[in-house]
Amino acid sequence: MTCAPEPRAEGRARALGWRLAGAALFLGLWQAAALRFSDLVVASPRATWDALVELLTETDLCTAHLPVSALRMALGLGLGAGAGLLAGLAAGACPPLRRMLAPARWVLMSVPGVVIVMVAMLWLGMGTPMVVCLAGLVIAPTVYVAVLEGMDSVDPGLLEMAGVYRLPTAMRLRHVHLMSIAAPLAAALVVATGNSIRIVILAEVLGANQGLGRILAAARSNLETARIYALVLVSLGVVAFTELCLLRPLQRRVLRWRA
Amino acid sequence: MGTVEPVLDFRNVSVRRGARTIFRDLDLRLAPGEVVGILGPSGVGKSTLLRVAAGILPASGGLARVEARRIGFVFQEHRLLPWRTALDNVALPLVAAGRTWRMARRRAARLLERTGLAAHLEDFPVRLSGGMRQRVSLVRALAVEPDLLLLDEPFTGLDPELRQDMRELLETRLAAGSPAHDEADGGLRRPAAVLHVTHDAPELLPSTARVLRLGPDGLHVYRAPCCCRTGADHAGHGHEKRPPSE
Repeated sequence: MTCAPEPRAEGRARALGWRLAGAALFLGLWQAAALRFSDLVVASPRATWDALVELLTETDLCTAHLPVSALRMALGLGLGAGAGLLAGLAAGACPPLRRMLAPARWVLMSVPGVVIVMVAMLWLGMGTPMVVCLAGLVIAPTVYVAVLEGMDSVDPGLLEMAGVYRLPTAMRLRHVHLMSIAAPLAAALVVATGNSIRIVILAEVLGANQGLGRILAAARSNLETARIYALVLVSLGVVAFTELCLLRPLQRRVLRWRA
Repeated sequence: MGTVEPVLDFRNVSVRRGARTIFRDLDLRLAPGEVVGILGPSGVGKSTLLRVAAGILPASGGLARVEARRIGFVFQEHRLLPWRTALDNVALPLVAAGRTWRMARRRAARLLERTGLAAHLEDFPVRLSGGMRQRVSLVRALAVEPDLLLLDEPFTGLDPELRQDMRELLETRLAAGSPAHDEADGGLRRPAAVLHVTHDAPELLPSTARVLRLGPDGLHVYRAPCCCRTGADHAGHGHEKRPPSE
């Protein structure tokens, strides 16, 4: 028996249907858990929604805290991605440097985030520089490893071709190396985006007087579970916006040759 | 009339990889415009010879001199940048040679259109057939107006009809010196010396002036040329060893 190819629109509708079914199942389980446990432990979806509306309308979340966290996240992502990219390119081109950087990479990827937060607070105090440096430190190794993987996968045949046609170093870097690392780099950036919001909020909870993490710390102190849940939704929204509106379109554009 | 400076001059050239000698004491000279075919079984070092000629692999010994300002190379596998369109793959070496992207793309488009790829200029290699990719690779090599054109089994893997088309395309583009085949037409302004390696004698171009055979004991004359294209005096360039039987 053969299956006729699924029309594109029908396939999309079916995929959307499965996603909505997944979301409905999640909400159902959440509501069931809220009914089973105290609202101090699990806030119901409805209570979370009300807390979210309150957060967005009645507090300075959108005018003060969210922009600060978003800026820290963007700066940390930029710093970490930039450092990881440059270090990865250099280490990919220079094996001794790669060996030199291996211990630092291992340490940064192995030490728990909360320990790095403590050390960063001791070194940099509280506030934006600490949060940004921290996010950068956590993100850089992820990007570094992805770039190295990409550098290892550069087709030597393409490098020979570039040599025959005497492509200058800048052209080789742009048209051969950077494009070879584009796919693993794009995947690493998606992971890094999620990590950056996590680490920024963690750092703000522990040592900042502004940002989503600051409101989260206050909500935890006041046992406002619904507000904590609502802040989780806000941070998910930030990640979703960055990933779906910025990174995915960029990824599609850079990797359009694969289609 | 003075002697013509060879485009390629190999004297006692040896290539080793670790303890293994790929070939040794190889002598070869190529005059401008000369088309030389090199036959030999797989693994004998034909591609290595081309890589030394292209300057991407240093010789382990001997003197390997290449007096070519620009080199075109048709690799056995196309080696197109998968993330660039057919047009940009041809334009890129032209930009590297100093043209602007606009000029390079214009020239690349003209050359690709003349090779039947007008409908595929903006296609990425993944969307091209194997024959089309090889044609793009050939156009890329010719677009730079090479003084030395290196062909590494360029017709391998193509069906017979396409193989014939490619050979004709190459012959047409190599036809230099005629006003009908100037730069605008996509031909070569100066006659390019061609080094064509293959394991299959029928694949050699009709204009091949000399055919040599590369074996474990070096380069030998395979057969006398039956149809010299240029009529150039090849005697001065024939330093290849003759096998004892000849």
